[in-house]
Amino acid sequence: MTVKERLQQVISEMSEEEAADAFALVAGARAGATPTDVYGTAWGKVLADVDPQALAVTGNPTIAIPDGIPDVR
Amino acid sequence: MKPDEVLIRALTADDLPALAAFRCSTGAPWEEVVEEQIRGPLPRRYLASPPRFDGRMLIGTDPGGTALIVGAHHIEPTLEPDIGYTEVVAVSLQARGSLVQLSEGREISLGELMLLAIFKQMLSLGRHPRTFVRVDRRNQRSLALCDRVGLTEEPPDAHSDLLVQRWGELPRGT
Repeated sequence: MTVKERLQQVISEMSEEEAADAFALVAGARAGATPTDVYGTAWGKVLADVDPQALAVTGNPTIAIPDGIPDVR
Repeated sequence: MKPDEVLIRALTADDLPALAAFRCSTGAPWEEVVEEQIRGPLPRRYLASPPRFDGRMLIGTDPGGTALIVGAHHIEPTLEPDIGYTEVVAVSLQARGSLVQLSEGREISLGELMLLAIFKQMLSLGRHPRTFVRVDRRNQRSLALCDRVGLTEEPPDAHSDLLVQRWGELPRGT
């Protein structure tokens, strides 16, 4: 089966909603659309105007990762 | 609950039907926003993440495959190395209040487990030592979680008066 035939089969099995989602994903990727976070801020713009102090590494970690925290599989 | 009873793995398209029914809100506005996003566009956004943002959405399931916790993080590509931004951590209503017993006797919540797993992944990916989240300033539950994991600095958010940012610093070489 060629790639085109495989795609045609997948598309034919989609519901209207799934097809709409797929179309939106392809259209977004083609357009280079920038996602937004859950608060509506564009990814890559969240730190606009951030205080440079927030980005400065102090060398004193505030976060500790205890033993037993699983790795992502 | 033991840590190995929670499998934390990357989101796949096969998870979309289960996430469409995911419930984590008891009605608070900040919980409603997150639940709507998880049940709607958030997973697809992460599945289609442009490479420059390296979006990663994670699911923690019980041994039977039921989703207990969800997390999502990506990079804000403004620095080298890039800053890790944890966009979402959500615990399912059915699992809320569950504790995970670590080997050293400490008990942590599922939300804490997911956040720490995200930080561990950030370390393995070589993210900037500084990392942050955004939290609705009324969301005391999430602010307390931030305190517990070391996201203790609280600058205002430049985009919304309703939000604060919580910043912390990752350990090195873990």
